[in-house]
Amino acid sequence: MMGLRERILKREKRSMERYKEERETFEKVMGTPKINVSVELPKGYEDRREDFLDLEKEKSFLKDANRALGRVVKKHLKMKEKAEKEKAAESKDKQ
Amino acid sequence: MLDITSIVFIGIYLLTLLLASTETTSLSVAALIGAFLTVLFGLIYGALTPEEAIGFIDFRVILLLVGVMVTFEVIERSGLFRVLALYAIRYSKGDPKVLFFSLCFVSAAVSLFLSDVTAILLIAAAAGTIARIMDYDPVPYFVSAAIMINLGGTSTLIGSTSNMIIGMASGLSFLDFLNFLAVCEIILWVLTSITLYLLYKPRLGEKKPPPVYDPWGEIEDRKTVYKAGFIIALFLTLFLLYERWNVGPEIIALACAVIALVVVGVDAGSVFRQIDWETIFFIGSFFIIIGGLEKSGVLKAVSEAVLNVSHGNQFIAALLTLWSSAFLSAFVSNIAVALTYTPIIGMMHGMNSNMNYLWSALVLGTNLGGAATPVSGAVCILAIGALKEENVNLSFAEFSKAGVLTTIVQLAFATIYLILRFGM
Repeated sequence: MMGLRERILKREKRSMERYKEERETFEKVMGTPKINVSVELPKGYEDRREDFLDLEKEKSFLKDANRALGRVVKKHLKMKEKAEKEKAAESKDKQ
Repeated sequence: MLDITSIVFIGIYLLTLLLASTETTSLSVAALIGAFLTVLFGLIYGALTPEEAIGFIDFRVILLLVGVMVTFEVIERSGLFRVLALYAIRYSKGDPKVLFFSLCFVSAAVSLFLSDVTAILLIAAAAGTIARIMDYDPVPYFVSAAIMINLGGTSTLIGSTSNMIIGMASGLSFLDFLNFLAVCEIILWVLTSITLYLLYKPRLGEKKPPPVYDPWGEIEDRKTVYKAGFIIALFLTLFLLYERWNVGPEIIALACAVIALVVVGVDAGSVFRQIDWETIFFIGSFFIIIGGLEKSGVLKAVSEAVLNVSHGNQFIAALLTLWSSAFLSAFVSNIAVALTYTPIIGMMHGMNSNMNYLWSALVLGTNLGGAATPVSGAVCILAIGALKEENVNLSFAEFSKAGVLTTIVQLAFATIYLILRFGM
């Protein structure tokens, strides 16, 4: 029975891709919003191509990247907020 | 006594079912092998010509299926059903009991229009997301959605592929289906969801603050959703009226597909690529296998055997049809069961001029047997596959516990319903 189960599930791979897409759409509406940022291999590290690609699966790297990017995101959101406030104040002065 | 041709055709039929049910090959390839062997041995024994074999294919069923698939693929892309699922979740306000029932009813409602595969991927994705956010066990929601999706559409001509096959063979119209089975389906929705609730009550989770969101959040163009709503309204109106114009449902389905493509304005090429060719090839090929059995006289012999067993008694014949078709549908594709039973019932016209009770029994049997075990239908296996994506390994036995229980409850009620509805 286990063999049959795995065989059938393997055949449904395409449907599971569709499931993941649907899941992402619902996650965007109901869950915590996410944005994807791609990172390029830094110059001077061309010979470490394999190691660089492996980082995508390393938990410690993902944790560090999330923490570091979290700081960048906060900084930029604060900058946006400040710019919006300044713009609103400017338009108020003009009126 | 069966002749050699009949024995060979029976062998091909059983081989096809074996290949398909053990997933040795895909459904379509199993049926294509069967159809090829039918034509080959038909030629060898002089029982069948290739032209006759092609003539066995009822292209009205294929056209109806394609028309419905295209129409609802276009509608699905508008996001209308996603909005509906999001409203159902928001309506629950974090109460797992309300969430469970609203997801059950939305699953059944969505599957009135969408194919079972598309419906389960949509509902499971919605259920999976809210289960993760609320930290709920996703199993009750996924299994119940699969069972309700299988049930949804039992009383409509376009509700399932097996219904389309039965409808075209019996001549039952869209209105006939509703007239004979709508009340039954509504009661089955309630009965099934209550059964599933009682089964899963301890696993539903606790009431928690729900996420705050706008169900229209991901919709870029609301006009497309309104257009999709218009297409559904038009589709239903035309299906309710087509008998008056002396045209078949396949013409209406194709007309709606064209209107949907034009009005909603999606990329037709990508819509056509999403058509379920697997099912279409399976049906086309299986028609040839059944045609071989019909021509060799095997189906006539089965039909006469059923008449003998039932002694012309409507109740026994309906009971036999309902329970045997449901039992078979639990293990092999209910499309194959519908294709096998329709010519047999068609040959029983001598028994009674009014065969509606038998057609209704077949509709109920083929639909209700479709979610008893994980191998009963794609909807069940996809629910298990989606659960795996959520890191939950649901065993076949655990699914079957809910599937068999609800199927028995449904069949018991369907038996009572047939007796009362048709005065047997």
